[in-house]
Amino acid sequence: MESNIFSSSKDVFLDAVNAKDYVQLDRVSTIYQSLKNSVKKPLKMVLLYGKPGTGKSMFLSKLYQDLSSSQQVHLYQTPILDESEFFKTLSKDLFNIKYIGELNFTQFLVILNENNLYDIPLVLLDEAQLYSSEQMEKIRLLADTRKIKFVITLHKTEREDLIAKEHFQTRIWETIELENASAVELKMYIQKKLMKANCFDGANIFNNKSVQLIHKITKGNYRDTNKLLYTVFDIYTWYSENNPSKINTRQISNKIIEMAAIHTGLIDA
Amino acid sequence: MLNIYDLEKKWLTYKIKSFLPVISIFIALLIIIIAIYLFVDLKKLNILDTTIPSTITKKQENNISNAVQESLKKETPVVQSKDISQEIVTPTRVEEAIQLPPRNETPSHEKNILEPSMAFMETMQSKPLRQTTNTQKTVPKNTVQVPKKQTATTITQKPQTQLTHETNSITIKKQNTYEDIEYVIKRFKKNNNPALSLFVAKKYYELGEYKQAYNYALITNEINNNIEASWIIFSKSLVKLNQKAKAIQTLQQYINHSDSNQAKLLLKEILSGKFK
Ligand SMILES: Nc1ncnc2c1ncn2[C@@H]1O[C@H](COP(=O)(O)OP(=O)(O)O)[C@@H](O)[C@H]1O
Ligand SMILES: [Mg+2]
Repeated sequence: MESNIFSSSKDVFLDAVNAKDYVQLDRVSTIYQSLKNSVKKPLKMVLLYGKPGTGKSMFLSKLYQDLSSSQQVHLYQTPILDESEFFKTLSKDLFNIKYIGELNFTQFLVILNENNLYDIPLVLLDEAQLYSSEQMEKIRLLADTRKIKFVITLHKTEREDLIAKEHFQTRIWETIELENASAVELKMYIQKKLMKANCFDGANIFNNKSVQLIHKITKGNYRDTNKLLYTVFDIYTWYSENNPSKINTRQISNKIIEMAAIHTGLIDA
Repeated sequence: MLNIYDLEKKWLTYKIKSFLPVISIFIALLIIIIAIYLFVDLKKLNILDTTIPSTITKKQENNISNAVQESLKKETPVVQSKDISQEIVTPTRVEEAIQLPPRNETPSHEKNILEPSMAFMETMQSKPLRQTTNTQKTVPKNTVQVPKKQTATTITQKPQTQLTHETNSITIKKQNTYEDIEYVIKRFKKNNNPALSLFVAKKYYELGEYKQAYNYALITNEINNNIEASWIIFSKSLVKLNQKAKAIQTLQQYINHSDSNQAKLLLKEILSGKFK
C-alpha cells in the first residue's frame, strides 16, 4: 500500500518536459504572461535564457500548447543542425511545401516572399545554443523579414552570453531570463506537482525545514530537484518494501534526502 | 539499482565529514584558549617584578591587602593597627618594620619599583569608577538617579585612595615586601607554582639575601628548568655568593641548552667583571 504512494510520487519527478505537467508558480506565471504579450507584439523576437534546469523547455512547450489552438506555431525541441534540413523542415511546416533536394538560405527566402501568410507563424526553437553562429545569423535575418517570428531558448554560459550579445542585444530582440526557484517557490513547485498527480500523502510530508534542505542541495534548480526527489521516493519505496520500521510516513527524513543527494551526486560524500 | 546499505554507509561518512569542521574549529578554539592562558602565565613569569605584587594583593582580597590598607588608613597609631591585623602582621615583623629604615638605604631603588606598582593598583581601583562617571556626565543626563548613585560611590572611593597615598611611607613599603614574600611562600607551599618561587627568589635577591635567592631559584629550576629569569637570578646569586666559576659554568650550560640572549649578556658581564 504505502510503497504505492511512494512509487507514484516518484514518477511525478521523472525528468520530462510535458506541458500538461506545467505548474503555475507566481514568478513563472508573470514571466509567462510577459512572454505571451511579447509574442503578440509585431516584430518582436524573444530570447529565453537561463541555466539548465530552470524551466526553459517547459516554458516553450507550455507556450506551444497554449497558442497552437489560436495561431500557427511550431516547436522544435531539438535543433536541426543541417542547414538544408532546417529550411526544408520550415518550408514543409509553415507553407506545406515539400522540397526535394538541397534548400539553401536564399532559396528559402524566395519561398518566404512568394508565400504571404495572413497570420505570421511563430517558430519556437529550443536549445538554440547548439546552432552555429552562421545559422543563428540566418535565423536573425529571417526574423528581419518580419514574416516569421521566433522564440528561442539558450543555456546561459559565458559562451552563450557572447552569442546573445552578438546576435540579439543590438537587435529588436526581447530577452527574458529564467532563474532558479527560491525556497518558497520550490515548496510550491514540489507540492503543486504532487497534488496535480493526486499524490496528497506525498505532498503532505514536506515541511519548510525539509524544503530548505532540498533548496540548499539543489539551489532551487528544477531539474536537480526532480532528480533528487525521484531518488528520495525511490529510497522510500525500498524501505517500505524491505524495512518499513525505519521510515516515518508523516514527515520526510533529512537523512533520506541526504542519501538521495549522495546517490545523485548533488553532494559528494 | 539502489544499494541502500552502501548508501547508508556513505551517508554516515558524509555526516561525520560535515561535522569535522565544527569539531576542528572547537579544538582550535580550545588550543587558542590554552595558548592564551599559558602566554599570560609566561608573561607573569617575565614581568614578575611589577605584576606579582599587585596580583597577589589583588587575589588576597580580604587577607593581606585589606589588612595592610586598614593599617595604612589608621596611619598614626601604627602599633594599634598591627594588633588589629592579627593574622599576618605578626609582632616580629612589626619589629622588623621598625628596624627597617637603616636597611632601606642599600636597596632603595628596588623598593621604588614596588611603589609604582602599588600606586598602579590603587588607581586601578579608583580610576574606572571616575571615568565612567565622567563620561556619563558629559553624555546626556537621561535619568537623574543613575549619575547620583555613581557619584556617591566615587565619593566613598576617593577618600580611601587618597588616604593610602598619603600614608605610603617607606617603612610600610618595606614591610609590604616581607609580607608579600611570606605570603607568597605560603602559597607556594600549597601549589608549587614556579612563578611564585621565582618571585620569592627575585625578592630575596633584591633584598640582598642571596642565599635565599639562590635557594628559591634552585627550587624554581627543579620544578621548571626552562625559566630564563630563574636561571639569571640563580647565576647572579652565585656570583654574589662568591661562586663566580660555578655561575659561569651554569650560564654556559644553560646557553647551550636554550640559546638565551639574556643569559649570554649576563655571562659577558660576569666574564668582563662588569657584574660583580
Ligand atoms: N513550471 C514548471 N512546472 C512543472 N515542472 C517544471 C516547471 N519548470 C520546470 N519544471 C521541471 O523541471 C525540469 C527542468 O526544466 P526544463 O524546462 O527542462 O529546464 P531547461 O530547459 O531550462 O533546462 C523539467 O523536467 C520539468 O519537469
Ligand atoms: Mg531544456
